[in-house]
Amino acid sequence: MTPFLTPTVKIPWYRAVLILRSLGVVLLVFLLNAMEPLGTSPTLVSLAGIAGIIMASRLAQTRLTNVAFVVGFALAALALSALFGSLNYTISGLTPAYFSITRLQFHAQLCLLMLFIAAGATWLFWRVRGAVTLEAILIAAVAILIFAGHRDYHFDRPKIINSLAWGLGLPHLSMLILIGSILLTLTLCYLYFASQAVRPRADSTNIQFSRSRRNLIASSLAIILVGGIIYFVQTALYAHYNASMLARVSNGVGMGENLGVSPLTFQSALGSTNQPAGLIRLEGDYSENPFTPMLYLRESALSQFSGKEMVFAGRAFDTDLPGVSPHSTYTGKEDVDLAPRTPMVQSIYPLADHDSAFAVDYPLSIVQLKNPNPSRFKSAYRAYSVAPAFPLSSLTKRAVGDPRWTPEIRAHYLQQHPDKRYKELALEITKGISEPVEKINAIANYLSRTAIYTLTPNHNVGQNEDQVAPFLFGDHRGYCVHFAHAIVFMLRALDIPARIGTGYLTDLSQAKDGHILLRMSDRHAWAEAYIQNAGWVPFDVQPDQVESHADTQVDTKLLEDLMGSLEPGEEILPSESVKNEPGMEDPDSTWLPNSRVIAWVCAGIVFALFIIKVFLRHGWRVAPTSRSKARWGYISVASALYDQGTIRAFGETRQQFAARSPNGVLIPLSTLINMCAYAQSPHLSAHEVEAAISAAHKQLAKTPWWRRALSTLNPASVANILGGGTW
Amino acid sequence: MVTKFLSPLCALALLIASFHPHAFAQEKKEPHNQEQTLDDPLDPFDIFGFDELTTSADDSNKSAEELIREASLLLATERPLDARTKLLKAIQKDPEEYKAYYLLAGYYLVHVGHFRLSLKYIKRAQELFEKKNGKPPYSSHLLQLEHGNLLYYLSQIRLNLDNYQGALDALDLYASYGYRGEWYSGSRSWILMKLGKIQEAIRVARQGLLAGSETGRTLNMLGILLSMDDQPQESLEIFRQAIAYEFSQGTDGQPATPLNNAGEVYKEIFDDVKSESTFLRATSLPDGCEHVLPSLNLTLLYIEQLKTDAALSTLDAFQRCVAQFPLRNNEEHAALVNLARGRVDLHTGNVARAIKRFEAALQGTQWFGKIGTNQNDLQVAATISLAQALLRQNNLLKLHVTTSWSEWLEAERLRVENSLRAWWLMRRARQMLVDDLNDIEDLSIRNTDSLLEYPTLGEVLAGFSNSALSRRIAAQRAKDSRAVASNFYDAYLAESDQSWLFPHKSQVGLDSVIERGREGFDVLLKVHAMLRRMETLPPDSDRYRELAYWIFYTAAPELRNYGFQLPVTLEPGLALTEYRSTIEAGPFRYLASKGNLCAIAAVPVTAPAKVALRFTCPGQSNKNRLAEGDTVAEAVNKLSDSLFREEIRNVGAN
Repeated sequence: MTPFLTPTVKIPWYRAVLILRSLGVVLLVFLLNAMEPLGTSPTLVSLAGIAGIIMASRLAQTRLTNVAFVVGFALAALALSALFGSLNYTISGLTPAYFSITRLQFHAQLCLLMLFIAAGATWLFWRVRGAVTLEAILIAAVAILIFAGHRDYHFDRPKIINSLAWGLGLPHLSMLILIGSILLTLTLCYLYFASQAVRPRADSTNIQFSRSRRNLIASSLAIILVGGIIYFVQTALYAHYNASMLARVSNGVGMGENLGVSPLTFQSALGSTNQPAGLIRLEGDYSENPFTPMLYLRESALSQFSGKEMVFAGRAFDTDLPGVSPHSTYTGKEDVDLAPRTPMVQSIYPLADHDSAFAVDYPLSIVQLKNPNPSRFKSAYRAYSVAPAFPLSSLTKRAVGDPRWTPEIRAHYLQQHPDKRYKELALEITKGISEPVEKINAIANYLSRTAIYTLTPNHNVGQNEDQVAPFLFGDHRGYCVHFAHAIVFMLRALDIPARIGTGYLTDLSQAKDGHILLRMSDRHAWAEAYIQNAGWVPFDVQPDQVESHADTQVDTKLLEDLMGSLEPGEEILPSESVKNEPGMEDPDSTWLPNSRVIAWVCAGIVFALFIIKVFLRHGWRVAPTSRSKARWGYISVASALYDQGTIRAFGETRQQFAARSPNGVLIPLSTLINMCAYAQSPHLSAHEVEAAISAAHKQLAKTPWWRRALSTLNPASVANILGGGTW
Repeated sequence: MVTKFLSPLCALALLIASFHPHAFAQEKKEPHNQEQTLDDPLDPFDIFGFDELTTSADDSNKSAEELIREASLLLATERPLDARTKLLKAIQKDPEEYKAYYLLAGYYLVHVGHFRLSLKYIKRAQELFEKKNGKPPYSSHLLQLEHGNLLYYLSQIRLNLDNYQGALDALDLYASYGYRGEWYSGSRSWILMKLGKIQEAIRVARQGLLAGSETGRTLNMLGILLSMDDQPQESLEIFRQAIAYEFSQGTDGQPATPLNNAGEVYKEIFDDVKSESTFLRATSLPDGCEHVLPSLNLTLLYIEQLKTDAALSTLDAFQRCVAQFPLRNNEEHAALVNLARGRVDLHTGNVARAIKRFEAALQGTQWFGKIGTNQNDLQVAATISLAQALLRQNNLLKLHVTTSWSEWLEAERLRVENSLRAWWLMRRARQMLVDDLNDIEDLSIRNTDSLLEYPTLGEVLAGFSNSALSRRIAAQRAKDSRAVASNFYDAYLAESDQSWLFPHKSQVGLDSVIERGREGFDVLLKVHAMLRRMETLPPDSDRYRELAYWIFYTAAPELRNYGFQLPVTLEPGLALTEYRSTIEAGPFRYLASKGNLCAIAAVPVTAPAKVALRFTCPGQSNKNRLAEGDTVAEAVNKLSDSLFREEIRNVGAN
């Protein structure tokens, strides 16, 4: 009755294309919902998308024209708008809720939007040559847009990747590469199936194509190739990441304590990355903090002048630094001459790899703690420090340097820059000031007033030239690395022992319950001067003029999440007691699978596929009638041949295929099938059918063992039946 | 050194506690060298020996009970982290001691605001308490007291988790055992208010006052309830008593809270002058920056009056004040401050910065504690403001004269992106208004709990069905007798009529709103209504010119924000044909032979500039400008920025 709705041809891989497209829609909807709440159930929106795909696929096989399709959808959209408009006008006034129809309309609109988008794309897929290529480009563009935030190591954009990486216990880069690979594989699969599918209207003639066992070898090679690419890309990226980018990603302050080498970079810094670097848990109050609300956590110090910049001096100097890895213990010697100081205990849980342990100065001991969550924290240690408890104003009259130092040590901390301009400027700034500490303050204040904080100073200066001069004697644009160097060079020019401290500078006002989430943007370099009986004291620049901000908001949800993993376990706070309490569930929580769940799901899928394969091969044994036994016997042999690379071509009759089958193995079964199909009342005994099937299997058993083994592993026959193929 | 900072309570703790061997010195060496402990507990040269409460090494020798006692003192002396550490050690020593769990529950409730964890601790404390002392009721007065405290914490935690019925159940249980606390009436009436039982809440608060419950808190509560019950004058009278009571408490009093509440009531009854003075008084008090609310309320009031300088000063003062408390958590105000600063930026033409502020407000987690506003209010308000800012940015891009194809292409790309984002955000905002905010429950103009910008709310409401919105507004009018509020409702309806293509109704409505808007108070409402009205007028008409100039002299940035051009004359004798097209591509429209218009003229340039434009307004010398550039386009853009953007300081929102 409706001839134009009748499919004109049976399309191979039709179902596979539908399944892949549907999967794509579901993935897209859930990803979008994770990034920005849709306001409507993502399941509902996904179902609408799937409905659009199915509807457009059915319509595309009919004689409906493109114009009719577009007009039809436009009319449907108009009709629905009119329907909701009239409902709003009539019904909503009858209900106590004024916007009951509007509420429904929001959900319906989004579902319809998704249905239209999915249907439109599917229509183009079936009807327009080249649409597949466009679609693949679009998918790639969307993927790039979504994951573009991850370029420059912004691992928090989108955050779901970060959470997934932690859930699975994978490094972020590996997670990103894994997702990229999955997307690539899905797109390739999609392109493959799309290229196999016949367009009923776009192609005037059916395309004949052949498949052989070469497919299997090609697939295996492709998998090995993709695996290899992933491995090499990951290795190369990590090498690049570790070697040259770490400093840039971490505010210009990299890691590493190699003698004569600086971990700092001058040219540019990323600054605003929110990538978590560590979690600090203060085990006590620190009300005497002279830098309130800031807290300095020192990791290393650069006290040797290389002739160009400050570099790491080695263990002979800077003996106040623990200089141990976050996985080691340390015991320091307390300097009783330094006062007043207060005990400060911190538990530190690095979230990124660190070469050295960091802590509030001076750490007297570092002990290892049990890592509460090894998939998240790289290590766990507790630092016992004696932290400054003196107001900075109390230092004003003190001398600089340590009288106990040997002349060599003193000379080391006073190595000066050969450029006389540093001294000239220092003398000019400190003109009329006699106290050394006041001189230090004057220099820091001068830079705070005149310097412009920017993460992209872009000074035109060669690698082996002085990187600080263009900043200090030029445009005054720079970041902490420039500031710290400038202060140290000027202080040393005034015979004040100085060095650069590196590590983290964090804002205590962003702490929660004494927990501080350190980000890469908190990495910092600062100038330090040695004040007699006070030790190394930071003198930092706080520029009045800011061109680019490095500060980002702390992810409080992540902080709470991490805090939760440090809290006492179920044995202390059993969850049964709050089981029925409303409000205990986290309203923002997104369920993410962990590696165990994924492993079980994969195992389940493999098992299900295996069961399908077993049923394909042995289903004839449980067939109730001789007729069905014959049909399933045929499928059993045909599927085995399929896995061995003998495939019935598109448009080939069953008889032609049977004649082509190796040694005519399918001929008896094909005859039986035809008898069943065309004879009025075929008299087939079960014994007769079973004998024919057994004979065919015996024939198949003569193929070489390696081919049989490979065909057992080959999932092609399962894919064929799932994709709606024929035998 | 340290002891001089300790309160008498802590000194008492030092007396109570017996002298212990050198704690920290021992602790720091303990893992590696047990022999190196110092022997003399009274060594005057050992700087760590004094602070008996923070030294943790000997904690291993103390009993759980001692640790809990020390922790209580530390909590009382505002050293919560030290207290937390002690309490966790106490739990390690004696996992069955309920007091440690109870104090930790209080710590997470009061100091951290981590309510789910707090609930876990209090439930565990309850279990252990009953395990130790049996099921209630208890005959011992001490046990009754402790059990009552457990129930009080439970109700407070549930209240903070929005489990109002659970909180009320805990209080019912409390009362059923015959316990009585000064806080009871205030807490109960608050929970009843949250459950929407206003009359019952008022009754409980009044009974509480008679029974001598916490006077300040209960008066405050009663004032809020009366205000909600549409009894503003009675509410103000109660707040007056509350303010007097708080002042009578001397330094312990917190008069800023009732002052803020009174200011809110004045604001609700549209007594803007009294409201402003009350908020100003609240913000000037020492406890005024304890919470962001008085400053935020004052800022939002100034924004409605388009007093952007005053709004900015208020926020600056708040942030200066709060900077005195370095350990105050950013979550308490960052999102709200970003929202308010974003609005100031938006109305001063600094739209790009406003977008960043609104995005930060949306991303930030705001802890609202016990105030009436909740996260949904902030989400909706920030979403609407962000969508508006994106639309305004599109207008700015439209009126920006591009000088190259790449610049034009980038501007067009941004406009498409902004349009899509704004459409989505407006849609989400409407959905949240009906879903999360129960059929726009905040439609009552100047609802205290709401963060909506009421003068421009019509922009989002216009997206609703005209009939549904009309019915909703009619219902609101039926219970809102405030004359000024009626003008706002008319504005919403007029804007809805305009978007649903009822031009005549819309024009009449907007004209009425412009006419009735209060001078000096409803400035933003009037400006917004005028700009909507201008959409229906031909740019050459006198009415368009009249409205454009009123806005230009009152709130110039809004004219460009909404994408309108200012009618100007071009002085003769210049190469007008060359200049005119570029000038008209910007926010200016040439209008020949009309008197009393501002004028643009080309003037001699000063090197190295190549083009100079002078803008003059008859009788408004403060609007005169000179803009120079290498090209006419550059000069026009500079002139546009100097006229339609107010330079404000770029201050971070913490």
